[in-house]
Amino acid sequence: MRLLETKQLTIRFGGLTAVDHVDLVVNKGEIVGLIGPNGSGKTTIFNMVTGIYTPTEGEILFGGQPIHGAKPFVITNRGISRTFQNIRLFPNLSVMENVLIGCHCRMKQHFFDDLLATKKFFREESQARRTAIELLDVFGLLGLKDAMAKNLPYGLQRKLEIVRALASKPQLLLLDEPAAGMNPQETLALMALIRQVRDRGVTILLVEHDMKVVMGICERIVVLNYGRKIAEGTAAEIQNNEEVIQAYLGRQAKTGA
Amino acid sequence: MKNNRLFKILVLICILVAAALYPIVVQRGYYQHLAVMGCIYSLLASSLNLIVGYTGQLSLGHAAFYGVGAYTSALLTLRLGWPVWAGMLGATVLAGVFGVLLGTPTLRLKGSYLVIATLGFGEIVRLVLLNWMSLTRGPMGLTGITRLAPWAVTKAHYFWVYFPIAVVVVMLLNQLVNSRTGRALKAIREDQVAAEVMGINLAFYKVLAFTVGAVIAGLAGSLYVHYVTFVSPDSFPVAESIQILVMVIVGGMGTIAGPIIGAFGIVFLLETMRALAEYRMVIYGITLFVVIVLMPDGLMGAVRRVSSILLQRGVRHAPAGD
Repeated sequence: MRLLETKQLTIRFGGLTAVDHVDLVVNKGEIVGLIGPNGSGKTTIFNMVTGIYTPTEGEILFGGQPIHGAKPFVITNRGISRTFQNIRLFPNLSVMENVLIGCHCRMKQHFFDDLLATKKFFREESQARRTAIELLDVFGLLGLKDAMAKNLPYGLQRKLEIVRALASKPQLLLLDEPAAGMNPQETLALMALIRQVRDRGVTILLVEHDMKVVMGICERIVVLNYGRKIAEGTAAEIQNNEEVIQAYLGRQAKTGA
Repeated sequence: MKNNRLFKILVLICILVAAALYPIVVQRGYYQHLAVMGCIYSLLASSLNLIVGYTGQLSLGHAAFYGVGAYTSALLTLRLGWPVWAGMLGATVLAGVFGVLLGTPTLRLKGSYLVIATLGFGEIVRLVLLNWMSLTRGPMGLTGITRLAPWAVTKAHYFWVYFPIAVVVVMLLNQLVNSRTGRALKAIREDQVAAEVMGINLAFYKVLAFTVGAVIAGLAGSLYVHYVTFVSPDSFPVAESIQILVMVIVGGMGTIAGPIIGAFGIVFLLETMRALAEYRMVIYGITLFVVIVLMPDGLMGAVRRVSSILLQRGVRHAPAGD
């Protein structure tokens, strides 16, 4: 079943076509990798899918419904969540508060419930707290729930960002270079974590430069170069694709040139 | 948890009892006047704190909401003969409308651009009050405004009414900032893009912060005007907005107690320094400078830092959790 589908997705910034007629499909339950050299448009696709940018042309369908051009908070509500390439936690808030903010769009109380501390406020608040504690527990962050997010070590900040994203109960999770800046050990733990998330029923689309991660966990890989999709397939297929090798390593120098 | 709650209720009772006794112990009307103004400035600083300290939207237009509230309440009671409570209600509603009016067009502005826009808004409101002669009598101001109530004769009476109002408003704000709404505001302060991607409707919550802040400032304006029974545009210059902001910053942005401490502290400090005559503002300026350099997070930030150091020393091996 197709969970996310982009059709002829295009965005231009002035004269630059950052993403050029990209067709992309993510099926429910998959882990899909999106790779490509720097500046090939991976993060731009993420930004369009999450509503930060509006595509110039083309469509984005989520569960068969168009979502292109919708506001980010609407898209989160529909069930897409993400992490950022350069971690964007709420630095001066506690770990717990970070996760509770993730729960925001699944809480049903209104402003006046919050202001007047109604029954609904207490019900929703305790439910959100339960969700947050459960998530923190599963991912081993419960002991740090009162720590300030900015005081966590780098690896845990990455983890917290994933937990915060999961708090919004997404069907699709977009991970933007989750292994960036991690040592080999942390990377291994991350791969296990990503599988664990998938096993909770969350579909994953992943941008990553660390090929060990991409080849290790992605069931399908899509390769971009200069905003165009140049290849798609399993890890083995991608590794032997001539065009992909060229994109990453450059064309072989011709003799005499 | 339960003990904590009991403790808070006890503290609240102590504060209320101390406040009730204050005008009896301190007989001088002048110091009673300062206490009443402290209540009004607590409301102003706390409401600005919601916008600046919690939502991270730096605003220099807060005196405008204060002025709108003051004039609305004055005109409704004076010209239309409304009872004071209805005037207060009108003041909060109209100030709230002005909150939406300022919050909506400035949604896309950040940092210094927002400061300039809010500054301009404050000036527009002041100039309208100054020049709309037929309604506001311009620079002459409005006199003979209805007192709070026929029985409210002394300053002590006002204090006994205004202090509980301030307490209730602050308690509501405290509830608000520790809820889903409050977390959304803090998320916007911390990182707008991340907040939006986590499902927070930026436009709604930013305008909400301005509106709630304006409603409370409008209430403060109404309380002010039925206390001094006179109002003129001179009471709401940019300097007033800056003064309120200074109270928030010195007390501690993004804390509940900070702006209240800042408000009472600065009201009393400025008045007790009157003896210094022309050196007053110089000393005041130096005091502010020293406070900000030594305590960049305000008084509450310093208190928090010291108490966390003491706690760490005292119960280093205590188990975490509540």
